[in-house]
Amino acid sequence: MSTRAKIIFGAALLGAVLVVALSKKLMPREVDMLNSKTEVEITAQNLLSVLGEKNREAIDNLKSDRVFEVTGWVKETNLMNGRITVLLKGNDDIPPYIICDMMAHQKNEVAHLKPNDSVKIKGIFKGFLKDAVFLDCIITFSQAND
Amino acid sequence: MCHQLTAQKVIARQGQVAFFSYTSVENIKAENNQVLSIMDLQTGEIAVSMLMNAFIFEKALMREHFNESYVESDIYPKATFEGMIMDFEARNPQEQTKIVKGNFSMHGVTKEIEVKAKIEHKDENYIISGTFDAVVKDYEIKIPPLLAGNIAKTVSVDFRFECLPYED
Repeated sequence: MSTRAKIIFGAALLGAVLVVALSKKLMPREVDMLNSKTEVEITAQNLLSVLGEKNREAIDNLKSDRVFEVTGWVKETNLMNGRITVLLKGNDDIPPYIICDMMAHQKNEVAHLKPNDSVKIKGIFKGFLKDAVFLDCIITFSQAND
Repeated sequence: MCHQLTAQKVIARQGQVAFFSYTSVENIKAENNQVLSIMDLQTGEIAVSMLMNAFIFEKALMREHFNESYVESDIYPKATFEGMIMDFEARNPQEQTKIVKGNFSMHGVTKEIEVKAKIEHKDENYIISGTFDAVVKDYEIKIPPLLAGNIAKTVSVDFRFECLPYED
């Protein structure tokens, strides 16, 4: 291989490595929720109270796309749509609920949860419909309440 | 055979809406698994609401472009549909295929649409599913010329709502 060919090959290889590194940096498939800074800590009851009161100002203050940690009780877990989901409830076992779409690696942790267990879930708040919606969630604390 | 209706309304809290964009350059798929749907069994009215920032993409950069540049989810956080299932037979235990007519609003634009939907009825639950095409331009979603080849002009939208008796 000539020197010129070696330089071209080397530059192409370096370029390819840079593109791969940059694409991984810019387009991560998963959020690093464990190391994400919590911006809001709130109980499920307090979060649901805001929704229940239909207090527009309070709802608007809960800006979406921030990292929340929510403490509450498990209403149910399910695998609907092939997703791992935990529903949290407030003090009463009535709607609305908090829908937590869990990260794929949380499968084993969620499998151990039962209704009424105490949990703290960290995730990205997406907003309210009838219920509050969180994505990319992980469990940071759980305690069985048998 | 007719089923007794114990509930007036049914609700799906974890409905699914997915869209697909196929081009020769790139295929893009995104899904939202927390779509709200409420259906009135007596009248056949149906309402759907979804958070635009709750779509999950394969790549984070796609999600960023979608939310910030295309649907502008900070300005238009929700997409909604309000309509009617034509000739809906709530008590019919057989699978039904019906036309759903109504107004679909996204990105500040409302369009009247007609969608063919399959309705399955088991016990007190109803599953409504179907597919329709949405023309990106109709909703005033602007694609930069540089990325025009990456995004299909018409995207295919799948929906599936598993509705349970409504408890408010």
